[in-house]
Amino acid sequence: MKLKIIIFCALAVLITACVYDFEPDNSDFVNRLVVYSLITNELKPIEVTLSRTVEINSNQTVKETNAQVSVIDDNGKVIQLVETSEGEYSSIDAFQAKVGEQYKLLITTSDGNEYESDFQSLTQPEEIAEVSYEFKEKPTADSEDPLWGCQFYVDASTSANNQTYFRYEMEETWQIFMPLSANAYWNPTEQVFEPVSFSPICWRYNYVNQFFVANTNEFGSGEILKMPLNYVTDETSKLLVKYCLNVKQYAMTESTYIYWKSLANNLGDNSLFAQHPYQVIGNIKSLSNPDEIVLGIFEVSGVSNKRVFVSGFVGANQDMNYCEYWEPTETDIEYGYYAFKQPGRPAFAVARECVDCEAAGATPVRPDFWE
Amino acid sequence: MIRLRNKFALALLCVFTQLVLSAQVNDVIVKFPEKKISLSDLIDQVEKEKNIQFYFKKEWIDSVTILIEQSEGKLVDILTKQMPKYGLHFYIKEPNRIYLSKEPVNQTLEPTAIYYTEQNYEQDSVFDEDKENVISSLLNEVVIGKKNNGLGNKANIVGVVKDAETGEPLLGVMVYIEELKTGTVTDINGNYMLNLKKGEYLISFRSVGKEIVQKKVKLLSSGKLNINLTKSLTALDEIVVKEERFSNLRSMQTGFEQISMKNIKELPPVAGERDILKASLLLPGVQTIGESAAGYNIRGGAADENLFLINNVPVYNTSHMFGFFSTFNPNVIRNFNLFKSNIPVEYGGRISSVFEIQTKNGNNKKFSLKGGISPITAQFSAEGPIVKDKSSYILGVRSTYSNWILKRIENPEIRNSDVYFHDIIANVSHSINDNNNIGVFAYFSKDNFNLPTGYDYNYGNIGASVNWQHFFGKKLYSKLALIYSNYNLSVINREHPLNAYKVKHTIDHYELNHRFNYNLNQSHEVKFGYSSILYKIEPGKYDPENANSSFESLHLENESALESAVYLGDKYDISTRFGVEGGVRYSFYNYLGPKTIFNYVDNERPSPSTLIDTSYYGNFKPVKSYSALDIRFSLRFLVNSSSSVKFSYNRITQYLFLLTNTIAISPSDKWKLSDNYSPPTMGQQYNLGFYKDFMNSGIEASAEIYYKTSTNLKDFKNGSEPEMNQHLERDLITGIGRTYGIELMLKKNYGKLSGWINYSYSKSEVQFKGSSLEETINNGSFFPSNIDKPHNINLTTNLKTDRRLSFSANFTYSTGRPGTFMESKTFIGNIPILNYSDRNARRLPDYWRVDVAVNLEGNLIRKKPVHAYWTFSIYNLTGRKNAYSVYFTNENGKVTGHKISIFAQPVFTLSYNFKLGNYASN
Repeated sequence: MKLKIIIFCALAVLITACVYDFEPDNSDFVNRLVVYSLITNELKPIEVTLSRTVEINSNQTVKETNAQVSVIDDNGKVIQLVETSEGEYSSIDAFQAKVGEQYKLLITTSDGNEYESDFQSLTQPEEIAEVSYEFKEKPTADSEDPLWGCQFYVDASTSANNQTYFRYEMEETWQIFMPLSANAYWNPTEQVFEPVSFSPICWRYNYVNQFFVANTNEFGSGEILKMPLNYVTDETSKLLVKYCLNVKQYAMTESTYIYWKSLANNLGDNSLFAQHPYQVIGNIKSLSNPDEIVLGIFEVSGVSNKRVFVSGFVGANQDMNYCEYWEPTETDIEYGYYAFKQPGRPAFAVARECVDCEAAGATPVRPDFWE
Repeated sequence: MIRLRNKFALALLCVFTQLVLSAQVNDVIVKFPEKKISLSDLIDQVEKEKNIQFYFKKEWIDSVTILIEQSEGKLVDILTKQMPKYGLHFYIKEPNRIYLSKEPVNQTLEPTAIYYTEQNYEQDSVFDEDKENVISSLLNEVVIGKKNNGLGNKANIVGVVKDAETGEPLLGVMVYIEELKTGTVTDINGNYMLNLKKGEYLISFRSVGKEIVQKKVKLLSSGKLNINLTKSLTALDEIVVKEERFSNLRSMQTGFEQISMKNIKELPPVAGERDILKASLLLPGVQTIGESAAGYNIRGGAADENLFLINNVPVYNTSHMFGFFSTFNPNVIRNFNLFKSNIPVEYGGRISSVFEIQTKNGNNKKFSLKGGISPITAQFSAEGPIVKDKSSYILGVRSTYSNWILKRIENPEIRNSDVYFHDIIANVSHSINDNNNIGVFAYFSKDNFNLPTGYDYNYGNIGASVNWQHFFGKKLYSKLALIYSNYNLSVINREHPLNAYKVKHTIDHYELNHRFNYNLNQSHEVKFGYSSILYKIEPGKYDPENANSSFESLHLENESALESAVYLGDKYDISTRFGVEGGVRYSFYNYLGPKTIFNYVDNERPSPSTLIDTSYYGNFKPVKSYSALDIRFSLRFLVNSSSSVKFSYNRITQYLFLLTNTIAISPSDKWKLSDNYSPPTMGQQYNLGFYKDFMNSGIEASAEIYYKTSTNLKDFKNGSEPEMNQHLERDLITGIGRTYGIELMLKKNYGKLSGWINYSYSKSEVQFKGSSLEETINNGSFFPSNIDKPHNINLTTNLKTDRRLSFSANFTYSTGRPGTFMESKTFIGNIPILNYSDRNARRLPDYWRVDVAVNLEGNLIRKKPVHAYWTFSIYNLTGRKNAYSVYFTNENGKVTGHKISIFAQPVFTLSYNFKLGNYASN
């Protein structure tokens, strides 16, 4: 719908920019309880996150601590959760949702207010048929300068012929080569070079802060076909060596789907031709005060996943190209430095994050799934 | 009335009283000492020596010099010979006045005057050649009928008032009987009828920009009196025409607005385009969601509650380019009426308003051509006779060349877009005989956008009507109309190339309506009629866009319905002060097969889980019926000759609505008929109005208070998708609305400085309180509707410094519209969760704007092939960045508020218009 804005702007013939910053008045801000929990058919501890909303320009996160949290099933079995860190609640034992059972979340906050979810039942997971990708341009607002990168797609089919609702989450892992290397550390107290060794090959991991929703009805064919997922641009170095995208597909009920789709709607542009943005209420309600608005959702979904590897992309950004060797300075010698040393030559100093991938936020441990 | 300015009159009275009155102007002899004399010197000389007064406008004679052939001659002979050379006419009114004029003079104006032109003035009788009834037609006195003819002591006068130059019937001419202080107004075909006691009357015919004609009528028995009105011949200082006052003060209408093309021309244009619908936004009670948004909101109603009629053809999408312009080429529009409260009983089907647009009839005397260029469009219109005085045509064509502009914009997404629109209006009218007029009208509009990321929009209207007017004798006439209207929309979506699809939506409207008007007498009018509309809607035909697309076709089932109505209305002036008008309209609606209806558990919300089975209805089988009795009632009390009070109540049922879950009308919105699950909407409105004229100042004031309720308003459940929806009943929710407000208007129609100022307070609220949470918005309480903008001020002024140059300006202010803003945020994992306020709980900043324009007419030379005028305008003079819409974006949890401003800078435009003929040509 952004295009319509562009057309509007275009027609206002002489105007070059027509979107301006806007600071809404938010004097009647109320912080609200936000609940999030996802139970799947995977065996792992149940996790529940409780937090509070903050003002839109705030950088804080406010956690809801010291609450009593439990999950019960329709047989009356209660699983008690404990607070493992601020606002994070977890079951002691691993848990796996089963088709045909129903679950409900119960919360009592430290101020004594009680909250609960509806009973939720597990939706049968569906297999991802394929995750594919394409190197392609992506237009931007300035189409003289489109992006170049890799667009991912997902195909899925449903076993039953009924309408199925999906949400996609993605994790990405990519291989990096450290640009420089070091084989010694100048220890200033001992006044000696200690030998060190770093792996030149590492892996980086990132959880993609984006989610996508789809339902088979949109495709009219009971299938999800080439549904676009995330786009990795050449502005990052992710595609430089080898890249792996793990797509998680959650099959869910219609109401859970509507919840996520609504959140996605609200995340998108809400210009005049877009739908009204609106307050998205999930399945949590307050028992103590029925008028209180509680945000978030207790979701029980069937999960499946599929990986795809990408290599051979041309044009990815070389990051860390600021890295270089230099002659050790007096400060280096006084405080210590990593060095590249060759016999019969003076040692060169090098920044640690240019040689040690752990210092650069990566891991030298090869992931199990890596091909 | 007319005020003549004589620049020498005072001097004459004071200084030259010693002069002897000459016997007759006709006999005046003038002597010339020289071979050459300027006209102004000649006039000075004659005025001084002969005690004759000349009436004229100084600029006409400034550069005129007369060559003299003889040293003395009769003044009349000289003027007769010389004046036509300078495009002037004259006539003499005894004993001592000579009037100059730029226009040919119609002798009906000044019955006792003697006329001179370059030709011998034809004595074309102003009366109909109905020899039976017209006995004599003296210039200033008319005898209608014969003595001892006809029974009873009452008789009828009927007639047609036409434009003397174009032959076009004149609407809204006030026919006023001075003795009775009452009268009537001509209808759209120029017809009027008076039912009077036999006797003698002074009847005057008055209309905007026309000379007043007064007739002394001796009424013996029923007969005809046809009148031709000429242009005001001496628009020297000011014309105060009382026609408007008549309609506002004395008519039965409440909540009525009329805009003439004169008004439109006097308003600053938007991007060089004059636009009748945009101009209506300066009237009280007419609003739009945002600058240049498609759709109009009348007294807080939704945008689909208005009936737009052009020559009886309903238009389902009135906007070009997402709402930048309306689809009506102003050059061929005669006028438009807006009924926002008491909608005439012959109209139904929309609860908020009727926009009644009337095209011109072609000039049935001579060919004429007009055209214009603005930065956005080029347009021309042509009109002329087919059979002189009998039939005529008018054709208006307008098209964009806006792609030319888009290609000049730096942003490549704009440069690579294609935007195109055009519209064509054609009208042929033919007068078969005195009792039968027929008109054929056709209308097309088309819009096309191609956006570079793979959206193509195509939409258009096609409309046609055949209108036949027939007179059954003197008192009864009927209008039969056959109408077709089509709206079609097609959207191609190539955003996902492998899933590219196209969707088609059409609505076909077939209508027959037959309206009768029966004038029992001067104060009693009855109207009745019937109508029937067949709707056929293709809600959405989704097909793959190309052979490679994996999209599977989806054809939503077509809809059809028959909406019929009969009505009866009665208007009666109980006394000169009290008038009452009432009407009933019974409408019956059938939702027709072929149709598959999904049946759900009784009293349960339609959903997949409550679905029982489906029923199929065959061709034309009634699926669901509704009927309703609409009511119109209004009461007028004339407090005195310059003020009145009116009350009205009306109730209307609407069977058709626009499916939209966006804030403004979007180009992909589709029409839907009432069915089993979406009952018709019903609106009721109470209106109380006060009207006051300030005599002789041309100022009129009005105040209206209204309260309006509506039921069965439609909206979508949050998050539901109107596109490709086969089960709308599961997603539509219904609610109620209430709007109320006050509208204050002060208007000066004529004079050097004209314009209006109005203030309105209008509140518009809706309530969606369903049986479940998803059918409920904002907890089921009343909340501001999208158009709830309580305070509105509009000021428009036009200053005419002389006949060629005028300046106009307007100012408009309104409270910002309600919006749903983000109020807080949180994260689920790393995903930001944006929490919005209740629906419409916040407001955009207030809106205000100033526009100015200068209009420069070409010279006033009478004999020239082409007359042109230029308009230079600045829209949004102060460059205020009014918020059109507010939205929020987030990047990894960093939320930013944005506002979109359309026309965030002053927009300068220059447009050029021309027409064949001179300044005054039609």
